[in-house]
Amino acid sequence: MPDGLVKAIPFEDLIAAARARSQDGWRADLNDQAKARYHVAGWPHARTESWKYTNLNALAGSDFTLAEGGAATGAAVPEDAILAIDAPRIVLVNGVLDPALSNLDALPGGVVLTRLAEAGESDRAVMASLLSEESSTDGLPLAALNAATLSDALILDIATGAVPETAVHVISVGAGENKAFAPRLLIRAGEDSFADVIESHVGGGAEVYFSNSVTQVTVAKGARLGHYRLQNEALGAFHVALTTAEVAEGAVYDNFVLSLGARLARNEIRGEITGARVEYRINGAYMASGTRHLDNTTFIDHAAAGSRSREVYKGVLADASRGVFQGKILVRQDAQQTDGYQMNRAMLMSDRAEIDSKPELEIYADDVRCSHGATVGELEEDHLFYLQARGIDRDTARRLLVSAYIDEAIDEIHSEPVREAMKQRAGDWLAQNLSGDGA
Amino acid sequence: MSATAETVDQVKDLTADKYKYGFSTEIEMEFAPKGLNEDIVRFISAKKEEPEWMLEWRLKAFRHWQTMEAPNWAKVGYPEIDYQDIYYYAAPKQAGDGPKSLDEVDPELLKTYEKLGIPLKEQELLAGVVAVDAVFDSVSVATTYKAKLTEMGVIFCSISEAVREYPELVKKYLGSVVPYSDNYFATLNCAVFTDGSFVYVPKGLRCPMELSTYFRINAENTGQFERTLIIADEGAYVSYLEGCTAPQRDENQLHAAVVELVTLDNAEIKYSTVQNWYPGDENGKGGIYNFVTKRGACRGANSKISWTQVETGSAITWKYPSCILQGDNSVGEFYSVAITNNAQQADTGTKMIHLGKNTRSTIISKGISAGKADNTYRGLVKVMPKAEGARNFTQCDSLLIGDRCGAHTVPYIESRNPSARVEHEATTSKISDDQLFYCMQRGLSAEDAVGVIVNGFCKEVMKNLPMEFAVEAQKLIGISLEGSVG
Amino acid sequence: MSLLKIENLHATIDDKEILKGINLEMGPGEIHAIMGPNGSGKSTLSYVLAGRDGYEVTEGSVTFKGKDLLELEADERANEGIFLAFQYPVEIPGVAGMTFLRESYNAKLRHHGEPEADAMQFLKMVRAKAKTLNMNDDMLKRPVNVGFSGGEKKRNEILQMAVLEPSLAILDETDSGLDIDALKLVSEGVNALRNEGRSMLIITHYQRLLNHIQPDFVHVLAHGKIQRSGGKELALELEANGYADFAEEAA
Repeated sequence: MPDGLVKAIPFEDLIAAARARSQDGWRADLNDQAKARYHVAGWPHARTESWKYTNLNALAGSDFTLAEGGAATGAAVPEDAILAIDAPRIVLVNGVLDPALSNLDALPGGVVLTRLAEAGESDRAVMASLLSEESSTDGLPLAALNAATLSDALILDIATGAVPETAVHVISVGAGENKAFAPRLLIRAGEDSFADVIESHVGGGAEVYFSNSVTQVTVAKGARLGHYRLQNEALGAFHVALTTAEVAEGAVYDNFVLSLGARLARNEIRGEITGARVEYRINGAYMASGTRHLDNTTFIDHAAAGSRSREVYKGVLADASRGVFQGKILVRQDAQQTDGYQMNRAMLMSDRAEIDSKPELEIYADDVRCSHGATVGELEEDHLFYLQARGIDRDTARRLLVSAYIDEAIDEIHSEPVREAMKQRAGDWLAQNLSGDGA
Repeated sequence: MSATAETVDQVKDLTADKYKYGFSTEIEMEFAPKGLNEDIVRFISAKKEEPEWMLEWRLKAFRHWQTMEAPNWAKVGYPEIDYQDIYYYAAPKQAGDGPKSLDEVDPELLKTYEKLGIPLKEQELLAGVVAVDAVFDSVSVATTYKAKLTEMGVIFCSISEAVREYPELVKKYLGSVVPYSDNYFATLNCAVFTDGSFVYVPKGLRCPMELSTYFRINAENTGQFERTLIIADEGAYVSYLEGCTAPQRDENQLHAAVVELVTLDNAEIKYSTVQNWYPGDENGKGGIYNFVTKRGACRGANSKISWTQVETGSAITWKYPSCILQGDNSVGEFYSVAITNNAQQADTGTKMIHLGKNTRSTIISKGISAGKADNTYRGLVKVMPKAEGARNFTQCDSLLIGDRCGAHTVPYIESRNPSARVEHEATTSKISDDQLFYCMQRGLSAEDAVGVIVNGFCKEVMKNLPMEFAVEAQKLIGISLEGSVG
Repeated sequence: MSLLKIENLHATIDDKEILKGINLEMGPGEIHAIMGPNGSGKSTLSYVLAGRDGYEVTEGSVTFKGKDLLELEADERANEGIFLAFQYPVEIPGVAGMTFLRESYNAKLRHHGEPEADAMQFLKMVRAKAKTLNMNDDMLKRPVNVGFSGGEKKRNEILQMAVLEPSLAILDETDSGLDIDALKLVSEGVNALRNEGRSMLIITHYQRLLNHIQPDFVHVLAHGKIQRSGGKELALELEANGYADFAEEAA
């Protein structure tokens, strides 16, 4: 490994602390392999194309200690921050499962939860390969850091043909000032299964922490998986999340991410379509105020013919916040008859806000229909006036219009209860941030 | 065989033989020694009888260039260029001192331009439609209609002549849009540029003639580094055309030009390019590396710069004609057709930088990719905080012909003003079998049908070209794709 | 001598046999109507005659003006005088109608070794013909079929036919999607093009078009074969009884 890359790479101390905690030899090996990958990938710098608009200096310059997990923290689930949904919970505190806060007994039939900490011999090989699976041209350094510093990992298996009665709600709670932790979740939707998994990422009191999360998803043939995520971290937190999704023939993957919290957040989704007749849907909304920085980066790899992908992201940026959207669709040579659509719309609510958008198409097959679009603008004055002329005050009119604007993205969600719960949190944000004179 | 498959085969059949500008001219040349160092920079400057300040500027650029690395962000691949294996100065012996009166131009050169369809004898032209500056390798060999233009106050001459004759204007504007340290190829150009055109249109004048430069690379192992500077003073208007060809050779040749445009209040420059450098053969052997920096500054209020380009040639095209919209209400436009076939690679687009209030920009890009070619649109629309009411509309359409080629769209949109509106749309498609059959049922052969459909696809861009150029460009599109149309 | 002779024509699409032994002979100047229920193979017959990709002739022959038609490419057939008025004319963005017509017209002239048309005279000729079809200059300037209504598209087809002067015109469901006024206009256009040297093959589901364009012969196509042939009275019979009589004979 070139020396130059090892220098100035942050969080070596976290990796060392995690390594010291790994009692088992095989887990120590996993830590070491991840550390090596982290070094090769190197810390993202200003000229790393995939991090062009998101500067990690503030993160790298912060001091964190590796969090202790579990019940010891005494943290509770902040009910008004998570997605309000009636489903059994799997609660992670600082990346470690907290059985007391969870309803593990209530998990629906067809859903099996396995912990890395308790993994048997047979699961270990699977875990090891999954943990080292991510790859990309920029090496995904933060995913490697996740593997090098994780305390636990969960596998959520949805059995072949299973149609669980309820969704499953995974809640990641950050607790403890200046703590770093690395939640890791594997979701495996078996053939022809039909399930919803929800993730809420929230803060449990502490203001500054670093949640470096990775969720790996495989959707087997003919399965339908709804995968919905709310990022509502504490306002001083750093949140970096990678979701990878591998979707097989005839499967439906319906993903939605609502980003509201954190000081700096990155929502990165990398999907690979490996068979025909896949419906691959990644949609989302981001709403930022203050000096938040919300980054959404997505990559869709059409590696097989005859599938569809759809992506709609919408953003609202108030105050001096900054939004980033980078979306790339790759259509490989053999992926004929691909139908790809991608749209990012952002609305600036203030003259200090900023949006950087980079929708990208890379196409090597000729018989495809691919289109993308991006718009940036503000609320239509005509629309505002129309509502005012009907007697609605300006603030309410603004909230109504922005709410309708965001709802267009939220309405992409297949699950109705999730749709309503997302709208509720988006509504909370609007009430808190778009009252008074707003801009 | 399906009509589409047949078309693909016809496209494949295109060989370098179809490049009708592939001949070379036998003429006695004067070369500077091969390679690049300060002495070569001094040699070029001395040849051009340049003042000291010009030499100093060149040397400053050269020293800076030595500290730079070639950019690698574009989606193009090529072997490393040996900058010491290139001639930086090559001139027909007689023409070494710059353009003379037309009567004195070497008849061999006149013949060359005639063969290229560029008449340099004024009487052969339709009365005063186009004035031409002909650049052959490193020097301008002739500029037509000079007297007539001078009468009106328009300066149209080679940049070398301008450095000597109009130093104040050159000093004021050269490097003011593309600074000497701008990028690797532009900086190299600053150090070794040999010729190019200079245009100044005085206040309030609408230049009644199209001005045109015709670039020809002829000598082997020679780089062409031309520099063009166009200034439209307050209320002035000029339409400028640029054409380029090169002989068919097995080795790659480097072309690294810089074009700077400046418009003051209420002025307008319309800049049209038909780029048809030798593209290399069907296996990617030979062809021009076209690494060009083109940028215009709308300095004045209500001014306008419009770029139209039809890019059919070159092995590699790397160019982003851009507009810096400083003046309030200024307008930038970019209309582009880029066709790549065989092993050609194009990474082209534009930058629209909105600084002033109510600035507007339009980007229409049509990329057509065939054979094993890669075609990338790369563009930046940037709205700065003071650009109240800025507007951009971008439309990027890609057409793929065959399943071995690639079409890519990489737009960057950065907005820091809430009242700005930016819209970007892109589509990718192929020629449908229904369209092909419809055309063939009306009697068009498969290749004619492709030509007709592709020209339709490019219509929005082509209509922005001046008439004479549009006809030429339309033919070129056919030739680039089928080899048998047109 | 016959203009078109179809003998025992079998054709498949995606290995599925659609035409199962068509026999048909047309003389110069004759108007034949082919009627049949949906899915009987009417449109397939028109595409096979025009030479569209994807249709494979597995048996039989088609002779046009004494030549083996099946040997020719689609454009060669067009230039030999076969014109297909499409049921769904396609849009070609960016290509002006006038330009398209001129390209097609000149292709035909070149095919016959004649010099290309004078641009001004061609323009005049097209304008005159367009006028009779109630088409203005604007429609000729607009890109081919882009943004045209159903009726405008069909009129545009007839205009192309008038300009290209084919010896065999195949009208594929030309009446579909037309209201009564548009139908009259289009029919008048077609009737104006009737002459001794020009044959027409009118493919239609309904009899109503045949009220406006009187055929010399009517054939019923069902299950990939011509089941009956007769004069124009056969069309009236079909109108009264429908295609029920032919439903039983499925092969």
